[in-house]
Amino acid sequence: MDHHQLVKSCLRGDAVAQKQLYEHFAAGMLGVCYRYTKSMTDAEDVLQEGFIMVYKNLHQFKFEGELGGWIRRIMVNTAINYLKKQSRYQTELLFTEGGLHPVSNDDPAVSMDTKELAGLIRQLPPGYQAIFNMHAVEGYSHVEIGRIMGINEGTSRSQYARARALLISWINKLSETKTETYARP
Amino acid sequence: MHDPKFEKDVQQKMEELSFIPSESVWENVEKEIRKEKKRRVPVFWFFLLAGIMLTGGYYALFWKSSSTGRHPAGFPSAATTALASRNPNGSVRGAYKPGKTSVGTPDSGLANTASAVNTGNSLAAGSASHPRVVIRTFVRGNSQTGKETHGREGARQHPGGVQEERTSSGSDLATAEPFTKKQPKPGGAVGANAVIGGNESAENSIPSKNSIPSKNHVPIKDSIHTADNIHSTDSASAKNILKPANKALTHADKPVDPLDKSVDKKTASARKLNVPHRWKIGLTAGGGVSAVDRSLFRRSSAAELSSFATTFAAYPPGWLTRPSTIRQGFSFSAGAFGSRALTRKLSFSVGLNYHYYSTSIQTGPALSQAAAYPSSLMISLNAGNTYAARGAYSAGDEGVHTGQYHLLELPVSVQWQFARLRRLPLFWETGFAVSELVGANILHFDGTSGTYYKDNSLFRKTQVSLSTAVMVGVPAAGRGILLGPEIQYGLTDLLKNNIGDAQHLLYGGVKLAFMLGK
Repeated sequence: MDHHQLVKSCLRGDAVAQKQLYEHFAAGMLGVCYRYTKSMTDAEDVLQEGFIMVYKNLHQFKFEGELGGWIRRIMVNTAINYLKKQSRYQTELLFTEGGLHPVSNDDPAVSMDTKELAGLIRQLPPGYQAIFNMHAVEGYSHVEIGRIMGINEGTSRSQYARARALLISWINKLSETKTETYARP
Repeated sequence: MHDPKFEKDVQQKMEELSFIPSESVWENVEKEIRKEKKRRVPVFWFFLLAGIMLTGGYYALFWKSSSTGRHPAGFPSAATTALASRNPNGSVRGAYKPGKTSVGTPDSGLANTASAVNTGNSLAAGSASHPRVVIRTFVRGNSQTGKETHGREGARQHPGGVQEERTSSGSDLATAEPFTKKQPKPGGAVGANAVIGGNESAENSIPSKNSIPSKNHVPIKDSIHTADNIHSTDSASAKNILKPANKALTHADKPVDPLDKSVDKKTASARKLNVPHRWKIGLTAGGGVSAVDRSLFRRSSAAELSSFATTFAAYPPGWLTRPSTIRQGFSFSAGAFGSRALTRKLSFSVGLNYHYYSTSIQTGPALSQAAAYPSSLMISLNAGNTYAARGAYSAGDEGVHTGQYHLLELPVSVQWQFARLRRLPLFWETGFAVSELVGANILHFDGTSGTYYKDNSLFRKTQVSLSTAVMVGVPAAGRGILLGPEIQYGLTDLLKNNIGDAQHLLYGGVKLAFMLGK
């Protein structure tokens, strides 16, 4: 698909092109939103809001990078804003304080199913979840995360370390459970 | 140091993660982007129309006025030329005539009306040694203005002859969307009731979406915005707005079933109630300056101007008498209007206004003693009417005559709240008005004899004008008052026939509007 032409058509208000753009990216972007939220309903809300932002700001896309990457950044930003709004209404801090979870020295091979892994990430506390996604999956630096989330770089590092440790412990536990299950006669 | 392999594995796995979104997502997205597009269309036209009005008004009222009088006395202005060119015969008219010479200088803003003057006598009495230049402009078809004579023996013809006429048109702005002081946001209550968890219980959480139609959620932000918008509505409607807002919050207080579609319906109905679709009555008043503009729809060409300038350059200074400059005058309006909200930020209004316009000119002494004047000035205008009977004045600068226009206007306008300035709502209002000239005491200038006279039959009684205003809402005395600059421009020519440059009433001032009742 020629993204250049597609974007131009969308900017002209071509309804068919707008739907094509949506259909091309919606599934993948819902996966992104899903990782940042706690439910599919919330993920779809973020996706919806994100796509509206995409269409409103499409004229700002300069074709200097991948259209998918640009849309993905919008989705991530929308998800972060969503989390920030949510955090206003909850007593739980966005960044849960607590001790490091015990981890083994060897990071496990991530052999589990994609959706199982996503399910584990989504069970992280909101602050952990966002920072883990941004750093491990999206590749943001801790400086960038600090700027986006409004926290110190150090906080981002420590939160990520805790999130990573917690996730690895869950993966290990899940792997052991599976092994036990499979080992049973 | 972490082993990056874990991150790479996770990244790879997550890249593959995808889900098919439900149909409602695209439906809502599409609805939102279409709505956005529709919203932009009227906004564009509002800005375009208002921009044209403001630019044209500024040019005509201020810039043009400031350039008045820069031409040397006796030098014909562009408008004079235009008048000459409007001679029904298509020729430049004028005649040498003994005595005083009068030349129109339209750049001074004098309105050039049809002047029907029989110049035969005066020509006959002319002195050969001191020919008097009579600059005839044109002959109106109007019987009351008489017939122009030209091309007489021994007389030279020149363009010229300037008459003055000023009529009024215009409208007043109609309704302004009222408002009240800002009400407290119920956001805190919303937040306290929101449930955000770290697990799937978040399914029941209340989303923080704002303008986006939310899926399976109560749009709390919408409710908050509803309360916000009280700021931009009047106190009377504030109560009506608050009610649905509170209703929405009441829904939000309860645990929300994400599958309960009725929640959306209830919220939608609550949102509909935010717009008070009923007529409200208000009063409006305004004050400022008025003028007559002839520059925006000038009919004369550059060639005509050049020709006219060449013709009159040959005459020595002092030979040509020009009519007085029309100066700006005080103007005010007052009336009532009815307003109806179309959306939360858009309203429509109609009203009835009285609008007073005035301009002033310098004149010579009144020609009340007809017998004291030479017979050349005792010109029969129409069936025995004389200048004296018409309250005529000679040209000169001994006195000031204030011309007044009295119009009844029926303004129709649309008002849009486009922004806020330090929590005060800003409104852009634009519209048109059909008005009836119910009275005037304007003097018309007769270029042949250099006199001013009254003739209201030359006016086009029904006028249409455009107006635009930018107003800020100011809370006062428990109700919203709108205050801001306004410009109004008459679309129709003041005169009945298309003679000379078109003349349009222009008004610039400050408008005040407030709603009656709470």
